[in-house]
Amino acid sequence: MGDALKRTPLHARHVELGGKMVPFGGWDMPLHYPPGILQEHQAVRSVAGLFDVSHMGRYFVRGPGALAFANHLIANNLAKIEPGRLLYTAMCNQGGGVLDDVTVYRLDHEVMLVVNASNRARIWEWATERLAEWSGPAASLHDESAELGQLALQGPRAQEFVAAAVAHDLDSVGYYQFAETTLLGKRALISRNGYTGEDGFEIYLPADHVGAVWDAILDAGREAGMLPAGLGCRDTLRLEMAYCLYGNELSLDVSPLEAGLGWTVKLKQSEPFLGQDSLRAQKDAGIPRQLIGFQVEGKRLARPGQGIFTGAGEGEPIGHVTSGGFSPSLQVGIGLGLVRTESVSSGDTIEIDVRGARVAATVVERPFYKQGSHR
Amino acid sequence: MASHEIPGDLRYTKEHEWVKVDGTVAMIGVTDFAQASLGDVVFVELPQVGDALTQNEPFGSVEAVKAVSDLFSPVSGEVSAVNEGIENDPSVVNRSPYGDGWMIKASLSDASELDDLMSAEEYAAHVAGLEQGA
Repeated sequence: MGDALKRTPLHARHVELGGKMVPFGGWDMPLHYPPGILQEHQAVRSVAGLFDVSHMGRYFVRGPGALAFANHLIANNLAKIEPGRLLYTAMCNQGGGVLDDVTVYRLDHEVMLVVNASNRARIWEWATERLAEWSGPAASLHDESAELGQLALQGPRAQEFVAAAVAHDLDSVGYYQFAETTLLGKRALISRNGYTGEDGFEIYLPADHVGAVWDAILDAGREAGMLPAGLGCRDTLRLEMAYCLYGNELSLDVSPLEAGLGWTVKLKQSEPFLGQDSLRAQKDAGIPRQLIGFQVEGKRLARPGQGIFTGAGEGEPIGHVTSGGFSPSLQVGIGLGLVRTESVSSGDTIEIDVRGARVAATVVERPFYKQGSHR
Repeated sequence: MASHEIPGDLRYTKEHEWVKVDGTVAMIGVTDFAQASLGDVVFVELPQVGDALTQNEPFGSVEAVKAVSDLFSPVSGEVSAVNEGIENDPSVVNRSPYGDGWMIKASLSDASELDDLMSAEEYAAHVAGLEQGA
């Protein structure tokens, strides 16, 4: 049913570049281009890669109550950051289950919520329902996902391939900060953050301008070895950093405290947020599960859903693999798993049921990859 | 849609293995379509010399970055050689699926099984059907 898939403004360019197009969250997106996942991964680690992330959702909260209402939706505390900064957090339901993981931009008089492609419709419905119940200062919700495109430029040399086109000194934009500026003469919002562990930027710009900017950045970086990068290496890069992926580590059945996102959950804030009571109760009662990182022995790779057992290899599983695969940077099999709290600790040997065979793995500290250039 | 190389002198399974028969020796690998669909291959698990093969039964697996796939034997017989080069450099499967990326050689136990396999023309039609459906 290929014709039901949605297309970003860059779709024709992905096809032209030879991208292997696959369905992702309702969108027809490039898994990789002809160089393949491994080379694209390496380009991002050593030079830079350019990702089309226009399939994500971009929602604005406006009005006098913008900050308060946005803060009500998320587990982190926007009041603690200045305008010009962003934060990462979870959006939870009243039970404390994760509806989505989001980046949230505090602008001068509005808030931008960036949500995962697969959760766009659900978050829009959720937010509009909560707004209808909202009794705080007036706020409104605006879906500008179609009006705006979104690029992620990631890699240790990312800045040099975009700096010339931007009417702003990017050195003044720190990690998790952003600038509202112009890019090739049209308005753009540029933030220094990403999903790879490397330095880099997320760029928001008018949808009809995305193609020109995509071309200009690729041109600027081509000689240095920058590549267009697909969803395949986006996944291997984030897994090496042990970053959560919605649908793998995160779901309605998992709390952000279990998924290792406790640092993005501000339980003590005085203005209540959705899920706060449940999360507080979970923390008081003891968080039932925890996220672990592991490295497998040998060449067989762990994959999502496989059971995790203690080193003895007997009895019931202590949990399951949420993400697993090959680490191109480390050249070993790595993975993340959700297990019973304190059932294992760093350095322990575990066993994973890989398609009927027990594969040994060692619990290791996260992130797996520690040489990233992000700052 | 990219076109995939399908040599005329091989026989094929619908799971995208190929077999090249020389007397009673069969050389087995995966097709160009298979390697392109899998993407970067990072590990191939192969049987050992002397292991028995059964037609249509798994004899190993291919780990690509994104997924793992079983390898199904096109024929029954006994493994007589394993491509050691794949262990050192699994990407040879991507670069040369019909050449240096071959996987195993086997002695055929029943040559009539070859009649169950697809010709290059039949396999090309099979792949075209999959690409239409994709």
